Amino acid sequence: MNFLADVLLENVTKKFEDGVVAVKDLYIEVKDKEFVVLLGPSGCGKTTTLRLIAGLEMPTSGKIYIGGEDVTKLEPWARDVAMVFQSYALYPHMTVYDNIAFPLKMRKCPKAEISRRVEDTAELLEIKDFLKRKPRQLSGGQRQRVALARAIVRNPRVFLMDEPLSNLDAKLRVLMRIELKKLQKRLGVTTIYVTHDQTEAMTLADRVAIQFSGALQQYAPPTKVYSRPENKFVAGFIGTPPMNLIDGKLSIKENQGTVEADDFTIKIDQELKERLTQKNDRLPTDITYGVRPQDCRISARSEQREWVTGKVYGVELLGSENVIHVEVGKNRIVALASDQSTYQMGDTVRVNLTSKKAHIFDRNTEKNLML
Amino acid sequence: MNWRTLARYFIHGMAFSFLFFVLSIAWVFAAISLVNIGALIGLVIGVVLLFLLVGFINSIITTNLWFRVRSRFWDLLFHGIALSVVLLALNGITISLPNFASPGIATSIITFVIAAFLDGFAAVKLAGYWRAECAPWIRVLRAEKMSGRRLAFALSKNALAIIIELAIIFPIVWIVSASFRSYGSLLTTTLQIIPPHPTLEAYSWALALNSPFWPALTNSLLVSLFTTGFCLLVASPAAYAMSRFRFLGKRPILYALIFIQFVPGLLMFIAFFYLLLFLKLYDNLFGLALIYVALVLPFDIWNLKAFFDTLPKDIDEAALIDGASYWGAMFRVVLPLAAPGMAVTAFFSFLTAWNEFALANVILGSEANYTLPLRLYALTQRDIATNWPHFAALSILSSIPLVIVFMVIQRYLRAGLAIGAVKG
Repeated sequence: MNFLADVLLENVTKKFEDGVVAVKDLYIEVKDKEFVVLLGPSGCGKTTTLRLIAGLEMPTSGKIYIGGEDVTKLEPWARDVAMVFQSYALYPHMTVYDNIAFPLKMRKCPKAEISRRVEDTAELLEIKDFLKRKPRQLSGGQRQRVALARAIVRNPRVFLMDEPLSNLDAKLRVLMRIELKKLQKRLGVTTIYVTHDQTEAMTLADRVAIQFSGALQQYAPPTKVYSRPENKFVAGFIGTPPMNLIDGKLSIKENQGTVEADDFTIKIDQELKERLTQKNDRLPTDITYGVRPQDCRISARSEQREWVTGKVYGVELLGSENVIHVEVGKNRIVALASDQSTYQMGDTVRVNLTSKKAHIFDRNTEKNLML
Repeated sequence: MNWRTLARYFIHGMAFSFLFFVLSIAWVFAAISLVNIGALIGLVIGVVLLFLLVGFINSIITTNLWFRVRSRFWDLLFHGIALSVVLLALNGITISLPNFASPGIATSIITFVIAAFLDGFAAVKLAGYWRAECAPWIRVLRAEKMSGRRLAFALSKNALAIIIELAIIFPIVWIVSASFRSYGSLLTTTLQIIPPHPTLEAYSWALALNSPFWPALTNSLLVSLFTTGFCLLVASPAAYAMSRFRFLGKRPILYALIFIQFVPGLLMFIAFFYLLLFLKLYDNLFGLALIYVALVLPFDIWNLKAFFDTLPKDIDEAALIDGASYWGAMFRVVLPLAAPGMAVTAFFSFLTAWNEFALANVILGSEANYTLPLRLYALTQRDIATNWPHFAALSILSSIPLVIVFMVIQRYLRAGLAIGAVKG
């Protein structure tokens, strides 16, 4: 066991009575003061993971450690964690003050200290004016802050947050995201945060744990998750617009490597080819070629031989850039073009898929062969 | 004033007369049956109905010919009263006087036409005071615009409600009336709601220090309060567990609780009887209360469970993480939020125990242990003729604690306490 880890999930599996395996053999260690985001599509088991750490669910097998102590069998109140719920879960019959004071009262804190700490926390989160109100008299953003205040008021060992920003409107969400990050750094409390929003994950996290159907796909800092995805799922999940994934047959010759897709051939970048052959003794033939839209070049007329030819299927104008969907044979390829571009639906265009930032995945194991 | 306006006044007056003629036939029938209920009350209701009718007719005509008129109950009533007085005076002068002075067909026709104009004119001017968007002193009362069709619908809806309410209230009114009578005055053949010689004799008998009312009240209170308290004490943790936890045998237990409800308590009275004999609790209030608990508890658990199910689970999970134990989460967070559900459940338990007669009759033998229903029953089982005024007074007195309990509890019945707990 890693003694640096503040939270450690050791091969945790959770199987529900109806047979659904929500979490599969999960191993995650979270360092002290680290901000870890559990990211994944809905139903991937990320919320269940959080509930396991909180003690609201008991794991079927595996062990959970918090601060080096085995808490697998401990009830929620004995774990010293604080949780912010997606729904905020404020106590509607109590005032804001009583809501924030509740965790302290439960821990038999002296009255004077309770009032001091509640005031301090309220000050920090700028909700001092609402202390006498009931939750139903607050706006969504204010409720959110009360929920946060209730979590931080007692300096828990770990913060658990279950999509805390998802009920806020878009503008407020961006604002709270920054606030949250600052708050966490300032308080220095280990935080585990669940979201399905990759922008949130990228901006908040020290490390992102990407889950899919119960299993951990990759656990790395945000930049690494983006630039070095471990497998096809992560590659397709992270990044907007998503990475182009093209199935094909790999052939490596002396001077150049190619990917034979159904209707066209992609030339593999020379540098990429060398790295590929260095890292792998034996290369599979069935692979998936992945390249991000940001790394594809598009042109109305290019004489380059290795560029593929396709028809514009649709154009999305984002303001800063245009997203061009191109139909190449059976594949649909997404490429970014400048906001000055004037591609129309049905235009014939040429796309360059050759990039040294491309990835090649084994189609059977789905592993990234470039790592 | 052009001829179109004059024509509208004329139409208004004619329509009013016609509608009043048609609808007053219905009113006469209603009035006859109303007078049968009791002279005074019937008369009052009849007159009120007449005024409402007048106000209603004029509101409809005015709304269709001129402008919208506010038509709540009080609007219609005062509208009707004012218009009745005005029309009576007006028609006395325009129709009755000339016809009295020189009878004849020509006089009749002329006076009727003139009266129609004048009636229409007066009715419109008067309706102006109830105009939907006018007269500040009226707007204070309540401003609402209503079309004739909506008005008719609202009235018919209320009429149905009034009929149903009358049917429910009538027995109560009758008992109240009976309780103010002397022993002999019930033995009449007329159906009078207001007693001819009201007396408090029955109440002074029932509230006397040595009256059987007091011990019976004490017994009933003891049994009902114990039943209510004990049921809530057991049902709330049980319902909480049923609502929040997964455990072995949860479904069978829940279905068993429902199944028990299918069996009427009276069917089991022999079993109860022997059980209480065995426990040496026969003819004992505590024994009776235990049986009430057994009868009420299944319903209480289901009712509370249903209520707990509606409270978001997040809230008690938050309490658990904040350091509360399961009991702490239940008492500090879930139960306060479930106050409306608890109130309803408590009231039901109290009501059942308070009104139950059949089992009490089997289990309680000695007169000292009689609960109120038994005491009432005992009044009818004497060798001499039953004193019905005493019976009526006692019934009313025994329902007063229920009313008090309901008044205490009903402020907890506010719905929507949980709003604001979750989401924005």
